[in-house]
Amino acid sequence: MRRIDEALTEVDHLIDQAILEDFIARGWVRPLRDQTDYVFEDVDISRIRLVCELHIEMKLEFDAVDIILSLMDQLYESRSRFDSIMEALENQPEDVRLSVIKSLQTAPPLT
Amino acid sequence: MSKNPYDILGISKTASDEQIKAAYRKLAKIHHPDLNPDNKSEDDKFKEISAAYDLLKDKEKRTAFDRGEIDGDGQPKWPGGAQSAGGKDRQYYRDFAGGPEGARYSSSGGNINPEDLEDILGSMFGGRTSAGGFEGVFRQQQSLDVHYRLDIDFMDAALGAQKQITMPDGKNLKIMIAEGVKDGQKLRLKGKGHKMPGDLQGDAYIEIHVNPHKVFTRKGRDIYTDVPIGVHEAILGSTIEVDTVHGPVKVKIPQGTDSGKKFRLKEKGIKGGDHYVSVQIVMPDKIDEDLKKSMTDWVKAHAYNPRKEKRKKSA
Repeated sequence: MRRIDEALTEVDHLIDQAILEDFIARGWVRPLRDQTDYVFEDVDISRIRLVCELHIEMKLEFDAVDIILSLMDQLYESRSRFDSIMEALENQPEDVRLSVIKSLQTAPPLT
Repeated sequence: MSKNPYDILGISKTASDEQIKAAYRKLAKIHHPDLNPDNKSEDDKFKEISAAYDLLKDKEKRTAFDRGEIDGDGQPKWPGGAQSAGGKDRQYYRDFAGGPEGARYSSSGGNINPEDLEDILGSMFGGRTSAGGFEGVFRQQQSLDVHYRLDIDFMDAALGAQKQITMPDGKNLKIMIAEGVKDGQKLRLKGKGHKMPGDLQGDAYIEIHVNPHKVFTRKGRDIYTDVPIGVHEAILGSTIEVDTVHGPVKVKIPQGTDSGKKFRLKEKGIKGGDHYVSVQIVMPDKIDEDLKKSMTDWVKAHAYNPRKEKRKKSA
């Protein structure tokens, strides 16, 4: 559990507090909050680094970062949904799994 | 051996700072691990690119390399791929994205749980059903969401409770903590996020953190505790009182109970789960003459050696 100043130290002060607050206002970084202030977890630190790389190092414009993060988040969510469906399928009896495989084989190929 | 930073970035030795930067940006866009979730080999490639860029963007290091004072071949002075822009053993966003921590950044803002199945199927077979609107609005909606962390006591999580949190705008929000809520579970309060003109309204997500209990250990819906019993209780049997999340419960300890023996208290756990009591035999504070004498008399009359018994059993 880190406060905002500790989070800035953790990312080697690549940005200052005002910029981080701007990232938060844009929804690029979404730390948790407790009663008093923001709380940063490991996932948020890696997210700050990613945003810094996209926006500062690679010089991507605000809109471009918006689009990339939005697509990325959707991609990761789809992957996680896919994983939960695979897990659900793995827990099904053999005949259910076989019939799913069969219908995948008969489905028209993705083009 | 192409550990030469110029080769890695695909530039000439005379490249200008601008050219170095441009080359790095171009490669980073292609090889950034977070943009390549399925391709683990991009990790090393990106590390290599970052290390090459770190060296060449630093005028002193670049000059030293050009003079041959340091090499780009994995030597200690320039540890090739070992160094990255983020420093030691960097964790990428993608390392979290699929797990529970990443859920905060997913478009739906929460974990996938079985109740969401309808939602999952809905979004697979034509259009998102829950969040409504086209993706443009949807993306904006995310930044209107607010995320909170709420620490709650073990007992509140076990039995359910009502809590109040103060929002940044000073408003208080009552939250019902359901019986058996788990550590890390998220609650979504629809329409309690930021508001924007034009009917745009975000949601509030509350991540629950359950504080550990001094006595109770929780595994799913079951509770585990260790309870001390005296030597006399272990030998002669007894009825003892054990604390559960639902209050004290009487447990019958049969004659000759061993240390470590588990007793199951049916439905005394969380939400219909069980409570398991593991008993530990403890010695009296002081071994007095009476106890010594009665033991000595007993041993004289019975040739008992638990280690021999064990050997016999395993033979």
